[in-house]
Formats: sequence, structure tokens, C-alpha cells
Amino acid sequence: MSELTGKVFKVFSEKPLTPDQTNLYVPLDDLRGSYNTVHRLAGTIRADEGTTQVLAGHKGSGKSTELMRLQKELETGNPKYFVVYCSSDEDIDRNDIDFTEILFVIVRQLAVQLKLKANITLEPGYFKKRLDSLRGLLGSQIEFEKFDLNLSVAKISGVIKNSPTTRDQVRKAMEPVTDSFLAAANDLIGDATLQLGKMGYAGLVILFDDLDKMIVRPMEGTRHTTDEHLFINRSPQMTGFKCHIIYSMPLTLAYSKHHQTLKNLYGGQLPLVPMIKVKTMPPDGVVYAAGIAAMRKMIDARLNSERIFFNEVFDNEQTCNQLIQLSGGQPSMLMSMVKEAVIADTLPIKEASLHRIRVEGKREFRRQLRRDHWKVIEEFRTNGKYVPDEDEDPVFRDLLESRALLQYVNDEEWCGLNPFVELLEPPAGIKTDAAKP
Amino acid sequence: MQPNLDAPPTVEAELAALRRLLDFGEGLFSSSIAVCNSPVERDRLITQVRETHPGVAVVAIPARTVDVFGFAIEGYTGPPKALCLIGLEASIASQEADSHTLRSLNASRDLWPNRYPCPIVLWLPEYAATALSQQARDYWRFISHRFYFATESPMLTPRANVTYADKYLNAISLSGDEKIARIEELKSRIESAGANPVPALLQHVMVWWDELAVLYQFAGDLDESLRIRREIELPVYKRLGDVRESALTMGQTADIFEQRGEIDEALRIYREEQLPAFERLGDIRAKAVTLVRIAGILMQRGEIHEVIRIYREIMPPLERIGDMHSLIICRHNLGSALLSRGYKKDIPAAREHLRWALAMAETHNYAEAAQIRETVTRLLGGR
Repeated sequence: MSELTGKVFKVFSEKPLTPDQTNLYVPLDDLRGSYNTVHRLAGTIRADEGTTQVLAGHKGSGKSTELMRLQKELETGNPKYFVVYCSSDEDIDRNDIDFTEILFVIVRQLAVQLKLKANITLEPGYFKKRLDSLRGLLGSQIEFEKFDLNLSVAKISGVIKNSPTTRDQVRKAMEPVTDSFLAAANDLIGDATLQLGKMGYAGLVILFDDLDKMIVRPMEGTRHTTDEHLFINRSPQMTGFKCHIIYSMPLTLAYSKHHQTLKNLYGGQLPLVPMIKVKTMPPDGVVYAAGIAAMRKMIDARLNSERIFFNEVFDNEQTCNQLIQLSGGQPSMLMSMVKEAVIADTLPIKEASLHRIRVEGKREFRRQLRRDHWKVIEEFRTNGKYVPDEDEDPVFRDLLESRALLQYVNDEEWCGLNPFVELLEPPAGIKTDAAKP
Repeated sequence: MQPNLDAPPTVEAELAALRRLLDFGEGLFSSSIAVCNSPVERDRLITQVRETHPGVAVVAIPARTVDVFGFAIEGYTGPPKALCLIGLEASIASQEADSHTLRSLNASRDLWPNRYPCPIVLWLPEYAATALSQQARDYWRFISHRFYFATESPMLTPRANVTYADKYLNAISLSGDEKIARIEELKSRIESAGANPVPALLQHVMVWWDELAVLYQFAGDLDESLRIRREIELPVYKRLGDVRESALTMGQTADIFEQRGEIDEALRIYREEQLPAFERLGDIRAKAVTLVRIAGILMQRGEIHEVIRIYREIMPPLERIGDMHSLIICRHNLGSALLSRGYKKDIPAAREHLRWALAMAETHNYAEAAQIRETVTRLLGGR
């Protein structure tokens, strides 16, 4: 790999931007329905003493970047807040998440980040007593030489994450006393709020990212899916923390029949981070120049940050525009495709590299899509505002989950086909619009 | 012994067993423990026992007493019919500590039979009983009878959002010295928060006051608990216009009055202040809880027709909102009340309510199933 290829590969990272990477950030609100996510979330926090909000969006739409911008705004604004950013990857098995694990992540990150950023050491208090009650269950797996909120909770989280049997046992043991665990966590939050107040902070905010990446599947023995269980059945606990908290949430849940319930439970609004509009709504589906230009700015910002010339990476403007259109307005997908093109061929990226990306992308979706998916896809091909009926709802959620359908918000909300799906022919026997009477 | 707040024992059966001990054990030394987590409930039970067994003496052991036997003989020299020792928990250190008090009690084991040829009943909360079993093993082996009083009333009360035990489990599980330390910690936090805390902190300050009131209540200092509720919490909630928290706090003051035996005032608060508030909020479940409290007091006053009317009024709305837990409790209480009225014509309906309540409580694995089963056995027998 040449030095240039290495630099391109590195700078087009799909990782969310950190608040310090302002040189790489391109404002996209105008192309996402002018929702101004950060401003609204921050405004809700500043207007109340304890709020629970959710933020939904496709994987890779930019939720984490927006949450990190929110963190910076709250930490540097007036009044300023102490923000605890929790990423669940380290402590949680995405296949199987319940409130128990959420609670442990929050308590641990609270202890770690208060110590690190404010030199505040939280006394474990009731939380130690609650955890002691689990030690009989966990046996020799958990031995605390000296109780420390960070290390001790990390030990328990590790055991729970790695052993589904233990996880199940711990959940069953905690079930009757969940509110006591929550009260113990709130006691820590109360102590933290008191100490932070002396340091000039107006309050504590927890940003819980990556829950949108939880695996959504039917739960055994219930009529619920895993996301419904966590965000609806567990809402008394999820909204029970006595501080501001924002959870990222799977987009499919926001688009489910529970939409209104979720709004009622989580602060009256359901903010979304949609895709960037690079095409107009079907059936027209023409290229939207402003969206293409904004994504081009994202590319330029990254190239400029490493002093790389455009012509070193793309053979011409058209190739670049084609790549942007193939992304469907998904920022992380754009980054990923640049890297893919770099691997596929030598720089600069040219039509041949795009051809390989198209072939691979189409193959991937062809494998995934079932016959019942195609019926709904064909509806959306000609009508971006198609409303699925109750029977089609699970299929619709599947399509959003797999990003075969992409969600956009401009003057109105609509869905469009993923560009790779758009390139596919429906299987034989599926009625296309042209064939309809 | 681990705290087991989810498995209410059969209070009536335990009380009957204690009375049998006093009947049959008179004049003979025996050592017993009675586990009861609430001092107020403990005092109520002892009062009931003394009504049927007038010669029972009570010795309250003050906090930080080391020589329990020494204090007892100073406090009560004569040979009573039976001796109840209360308040030992205030002298027992946390479970990890090596308690001087328990060591002393352990060592005094052989002194008691000669001095008191009668049943001695040591009343303790669960955590203290656990500490006794671990740190005074000789004394523990010496115990011949154990009575377990964990429920607070023979009638069941439905939960609003969380049960009393759930909400305050952390606080009430503390040992005597931990409770004292916690009270100091909470007072310090509240003082540190200042007179006008910012909104983000105020919500925590109110939680701390609430916990403080509970700790005082469990320590038997009802006056201080009542003062916090009335003079600190209520004015704040009223200023904030928080009707729900105001109503809940009013209910807690009524609870204190009820425990003090001032049932008319408790009844007035439930009827005139809490109930209208929940009606305004349209909170069916909370209203049902209040009505059950009212019915409980009316039951004590013997107004059984009114009790039955109330339960019949509560059931349809609970059915409508599908609150199975509250419904089970209401039908259990209605069945019990119908049988208490003594009309033969009520028996089939009472049987239906009680059996339904038991079946549903068992199906849903509710903690109250044990108590309902005991009621069914006691009241219906083979009927």
C-alpha cells in the first residue's frame, strides 16, 4: 500500500467524528429536514431538570457524531453540564440487552468519567450492598479485593456479557429488586449532582450511544421484539434515572406502531437523524444537487485535512458524484465505499472501481431480500410515501433495518430505495408499477 | 437468614403461635426471637399480645447498650409472665463488625434462665437477626422458638407504582448503626445543597428528605418523620404545583397517624385530601390504593358494610384498566370482609373471590400468594 493509499484509507474512517474534529464536520441540517438535532436536544435539556430522550436513525446516518457535538455544546455552553458519554460495545452483548446491563454501564461510566474529568470519587454506598446481594449467585467468578465502582462493576459486566447463563440468572435475581438497584444508582447520581453543582455545573447528562445497534429479534415466550421490550416494557426503569439522559434507538422502532407510545414515554418527541437527500422522492427520483454538493464537501474536508489533491483520489468529478449517489446519502457508507474502492483498484478511483462496488452491493442485497420484501420494495420504488399495512409492517421494519429502504426527512418524511436495491430487478412474478392495471 | 420481603408470612398464624407459647410456657424459661422489620408494627403486635396476655412486660433497650442482660435486670426485676425485649438493633453493629453487644449477649446466655423463669421474646428486624445468628452463635442455638412478622397488615394493599418495601428497600435493609450513619450522611448532603438548590439538585434533595423521613419512621421517631413530611416536603410540592407528589406525601402523613393510632385523622387525610387529588389526576390505580387504606381503617372500626361497598366500587375500574395485581388484592380483601360480616348468603361469593384471588396470585407468581393461601385455608377450610 503506497503512502497516499494509506493516508486515504485512514482519513476516510467510518468512525463518528469527535467534537474536536470540527475541520471534518459539514453541517447537514438543511438536507435533513432542518431539524437541528443538537440544538433541539440541548434546548430540551436546558428547559427542564430531568429529561429522558431518544435519538433514532439508520446505522451510519451520523447519530454518534451528533451526540458528540451535543456533548461539546453542553460542556462548553452556558450553563454548562457534565456529560457522561456511554458507548455500550465494551460491556454489552448486542444480541441480548436488557435494563440490567444498561444500569451497570451507566454506573461504571459515571464513576470512571467523574474521576477522570472532575476528580470526583463516588462512594459506592447502596450500590455495593446491592451488588453484594448478587455475589452468592456469581460465586467465585466475582471476588472484590477492594470494592471500586469502576473495577467491580466492570468485573460483573464482563461475567454477564460472556455467559448467557449467568446473565439470565442475574436478571432473574435482580427482577424483583430492580427498583432498588435503580434507587441505588440514583443515589450515586444525586451525590454526583451535588458535587458537580459546587464546581459550577448545572446538572448531569448521560448520552447512551450504540443502543440503535442492538439486535432486534422476537423474544422467546412473548409477542415482543427485543427493542420493544427494552424501550417500552422497560420504560419505567429506562426513564427512571434522575438526570438528563439520551439513548440512541433503532430506527425501525421509531417507525413501528409504537411511534406514539414512544413519543409519550420519551419527552414528547422522537428526533431522527435521517439520510442526506441526494435524490428527490420517487417516482421522480432525480439527482438532488445540493445533497451531492454537501457530501462532496465531506470528501473535500477529509482530503484537505491530509493535504491530498482531489485528482489523486478520483479520476474525475463524475466518478466522485457516482460514488456519492451510490451511498444513498449515508455518510458512513460513503466513507466505507471510498475505502472499498481503494482496496479494489489502484488510485485514483475510476469507473472500474465503482463497477466492482455496484456488483458487490447488488449481490449482497440479492442474497438478503425475500419475496415478501420485494412486494413492499416495489411499492416504494414508485411512491416514497407508501404506507405499509399492518401485515406489511414487519417487512417494512426488516427493510429499514437492513437499509434496503432509506429514510429521508425534508419538507416531509419519505423512504427511498437503497441505490443498490434500485439497481436490482425484482424476481419473476412480482408486480412492478408498469405491470399494474 | 436473608431479608425476604417478597414472601409475606402469615401474621395471624404467627401471632397465634406466640400466644400459644405464652399460654403453655408460663412459668418456664424459654428463649425466642420475633422478626419484625418495622418498630411501629412490632409495637402494634405487642399491644395486641398484651391485650390477651396482660402480664407480658416490655423492656426497651437503648441505643449503644453493650450489656443487654445487665440493662434488662435493671429495667425489670420482677418475674413477669413473659418478657419482650425490643430495640436491640440500635446497639448492633453492621454484619461485618464484631459486635461487643452480641458478644456480651452470647456470654450472658446462661444467666437468663435463672433470672427469668418465663418466656423471653427478643424482637429484631431481619438484618439484626442475621447478625445475631452469625455473631452470637451460642445464644442463637439457645433459641427455641422463632416467630416471623414481615407483613404489616392482615389486609393486603395494592402497590401504586412501586411497593413501600421496593422503594425503600435500600434504606430499611441497613443495620442500626448504618441507619444512623445514613441519617447523618443525608443531613450533610441536604445542608450542603443549600436552601435553594438548582432544579437538577432539588429533585435529589426531595428524595433525600423522603428517605430521611422513612429512616426516622423506621427508627420509631414518628414526630420527626411527620415534621419532615408536613413542614418540608409538602410545602415544596405545593409550591411546585406537583399534585401527585403532594397527594403521595399526604398519604404518608396519614400512614404515620394510622400507626400512632390516630385513625380519625388518618381517615380524614385519606378521604378529604388524598382521594380528591387522585380523582382530579384521574389516576385509577392510586385512587384504588387510597380506597383500600380507607377500607382498612373502616374495618378496624367495624364498619364492615361500608368496607364491602368500597371494594365493590373499586373492582370495575381496576378490571377496566387491567390492573391484575390490585384486582387480586381487592378480591382477597372483599372475600375476607364478606366472611367477616357473618351472613350465610355471602359465603358463595366470598369463596369465589378468595379462590379467584389465590389462583391468579399463584398464576402470576405474586408475592402475596402465600398470604392469600393462608387466608383461604383459615377462612374457608374445607368449604
